[in-house]
Amino acid sequence: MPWVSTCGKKLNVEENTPLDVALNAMGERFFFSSVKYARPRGVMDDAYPYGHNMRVYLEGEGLVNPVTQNVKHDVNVLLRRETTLGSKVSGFFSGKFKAGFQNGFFFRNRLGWRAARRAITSSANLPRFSEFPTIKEDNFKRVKTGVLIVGAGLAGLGVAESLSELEQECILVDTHAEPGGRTRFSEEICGNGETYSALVKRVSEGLEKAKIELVQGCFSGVYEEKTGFIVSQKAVTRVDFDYLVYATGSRNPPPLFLGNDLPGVFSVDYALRLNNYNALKGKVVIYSEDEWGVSVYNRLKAYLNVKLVNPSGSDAETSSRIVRVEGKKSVEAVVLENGTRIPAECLVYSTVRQPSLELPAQAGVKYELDSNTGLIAAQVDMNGASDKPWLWLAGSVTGLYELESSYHHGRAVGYSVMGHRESAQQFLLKTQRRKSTRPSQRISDKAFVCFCEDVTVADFMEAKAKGFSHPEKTKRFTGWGTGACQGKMCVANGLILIGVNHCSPYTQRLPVEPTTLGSLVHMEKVPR
Amino acid sequence: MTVYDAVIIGGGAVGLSTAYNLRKKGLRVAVLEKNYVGSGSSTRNGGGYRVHFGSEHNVRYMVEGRKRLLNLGKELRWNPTALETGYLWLLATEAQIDEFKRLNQTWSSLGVAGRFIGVKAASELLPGANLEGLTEAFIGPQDGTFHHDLVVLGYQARLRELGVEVFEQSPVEGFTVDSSRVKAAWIGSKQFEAEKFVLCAGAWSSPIAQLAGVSLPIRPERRELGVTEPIKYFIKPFTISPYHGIYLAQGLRGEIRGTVLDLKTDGFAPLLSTLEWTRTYASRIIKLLPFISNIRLNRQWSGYYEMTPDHSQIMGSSSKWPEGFYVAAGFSGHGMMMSPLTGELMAENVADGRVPPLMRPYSPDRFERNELIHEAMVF
Repeated sequence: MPWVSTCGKKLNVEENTPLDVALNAMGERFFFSSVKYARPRGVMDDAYPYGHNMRVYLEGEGLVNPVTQNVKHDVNVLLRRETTLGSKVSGFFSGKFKAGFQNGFFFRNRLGWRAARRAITSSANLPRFSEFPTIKEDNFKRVKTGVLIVGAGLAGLGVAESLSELEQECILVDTHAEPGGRTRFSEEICGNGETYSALVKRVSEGLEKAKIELVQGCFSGVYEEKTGFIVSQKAVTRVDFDYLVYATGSRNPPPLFLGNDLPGVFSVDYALRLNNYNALKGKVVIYSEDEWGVSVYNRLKAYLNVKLVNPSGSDAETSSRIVRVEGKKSVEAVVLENGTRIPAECLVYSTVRQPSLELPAQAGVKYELDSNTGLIAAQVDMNGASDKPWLWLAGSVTGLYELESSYHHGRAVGYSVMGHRESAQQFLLKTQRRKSTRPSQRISDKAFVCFCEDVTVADFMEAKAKGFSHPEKTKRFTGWGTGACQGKMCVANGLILIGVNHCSPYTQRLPVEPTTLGSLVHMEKVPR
Repeated sequence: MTVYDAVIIGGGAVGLSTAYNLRKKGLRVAVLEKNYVGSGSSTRNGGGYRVHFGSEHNVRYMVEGRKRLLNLGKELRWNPTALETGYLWLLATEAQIDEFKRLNQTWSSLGVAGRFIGVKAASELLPGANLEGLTEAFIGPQDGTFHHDLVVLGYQARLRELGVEVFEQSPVEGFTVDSSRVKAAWIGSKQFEAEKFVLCAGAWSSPIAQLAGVSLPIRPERRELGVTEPIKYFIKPFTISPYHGIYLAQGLRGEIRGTVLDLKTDGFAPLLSTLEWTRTYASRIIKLLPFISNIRLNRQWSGYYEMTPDHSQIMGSSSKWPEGFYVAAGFSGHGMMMSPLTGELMAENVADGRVPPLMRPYSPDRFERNELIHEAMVF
């Protein structure tokens, strides 16, 4: 077993353990300081690796994304997370004057600006260009396929299964090496009595036999030429396609209580990933707004020290909302509305899930927030067809389906894409629309909405007070969604906060996954 | 129904600035915007301002315009974060150098001389750059950068305080022209009656002017722009390199924004992004700044330049047009930096009926009279 060593600690881990999981197991959850407020940050969500902000160096490798970097041999890890004096000053004033940096008092006020601009220009906690490693000779490919399916969760697998039955050639893309999306580490049981992970295994084995490839990487979004690229740590692949199916699923928007950005606060998907490698340890609090969180709790409680906080639960002590998370560099305790204080090392949230809409929104699919139910849904027809004949949405990215229904919807979309509407119909009959659940309203003004640009709830309120209530204007006023994650974590929360009935998200920009300029140069270089 | 003194069509920087200055003169003003404020070209800007133009008229205009822009923070109580970073031109050929020598004589005479600094000094301004193939560098110290979004937001906030009505999602569908006078603009069944109408619709100005029977020689031209992830501030000047075919600048948040100079699409091409641009920009910027190959491109977008035959704006009214119809459009890529001054001049023109000397060369009749401005420095 190789070892990982950092900060004077050493741990033996199984080969191919992801680096972030290994670091989590060592209790190292503080990976970098945020740019504006210089706050400690770690990985929050499985779906969004935060790799762009993290300054994790491997001896001999240089800067790496710990989420996609697996431990293959003994490694020394250097965590660069120090804060510049400028960021501390900026953070201090940001707190003092409600907001700072781009949209803050000093930036907007002319007098303050005159005095502070030199400090501002050099203050931010940003890397110098020399910190970046030299890019290695990457692997560039160009492929063509009939159908490109983005997302290999239940829905994506469903689409691919239908297409394989029609003997239609297709490619599956997923950010993770294993298919299954949110269910790949779950032992929960689905309708036909098997577990989700067994279902995933069964389907993906079938696809393997049909020689349908799963490419690991992030999809860039669609360019005008009706093409895009898949970028991973090792390779860039340009893909030309006839049809594009987005099955990018859904994710938990972080709950908006004080301290929601502390290392140790993460989504239930990420917790399942840690648990799979036995890296979820210590005192765990699960905050659940939906059934998924409760079922994960019921499974974990057998062998872990977990507590469930469920606002709609029956236990008097824990049936409350979370007001704040305490801790300096990592989670130490969770405080509830009813005054209960629960010591904890990590807080796992399972909020009302919202579609991972950045890719479809970039392609021009309209999404709308229903402010009565708090759900965001795509404007597509039953079969997942958008207003573009080549673009389809499958599963929970539509905002209408969850879990098993996503799978059946994916099956239906697979048939619909190829024009087999009757075959699609039998799968559509098995789908069930999501129940509307109102997301938690409990918010703190100092809770973070956008974690890349450090935009708080207070910034949103200020934007609203100044009359900027359109998502595009809020984006420009606060910087919301313009950071390295391209809005993956914050779009849903932002829209809910803006709260206008039937409002669409702001225009997403390409590339949806930030990509090094060095690899973009080779977009036309085609080794045959 | 409200009868306005002036209705501004187009809620971009020029329209908002015109509305603001008219309101300051005490007029009842309304702004009609087809989408949301700034949605056209104002929020798709490259964020540079300069006084160094090819045409003397434009230099004079921006010498004054620069003062207004630098003073905008005081005026609006909203800081556009203008910084005098300078413009750096990287020159390669004798012809380019001669052209800049010739232009610099004009610039000197107008009090905004730039200077040749040589390639070595340029390499200090652009640490890490590969300046091979270049023979000279020219710096315009009076020029600089600002944040376009803050100009738009600032005007908007100020107009709100002043009680100017800004109607969003309100695309003008037609005009009522009665005995050669524009009486009203209408949107669906809604009429906006006013004494005067000012068209500031940028790239969309021609089709809207057509509704009032006015033809304008303004054509849209799609350009693309991109920003990288933020890194420590190290590129001070706004750098234009015709040799590499790019311009770039670093913003205060640390992002490097820039584009290629020669990729453009004529007409209302959809506002999508092309992989062609991405590839071209990446290869060119890496040629100039080799280390940048490790830095990520965060986002790219496209927008329209509003081009006129002589690459200069059209301002004011014409005797051949219906009465009460004014235009401030066709800025050919320079509308944002010119907007604070433009609003002031247009307000004087619309409210007082005078044609301020600075805007005289930009008369809509110049195309017929063949008094073109000939601006070649469009980037």
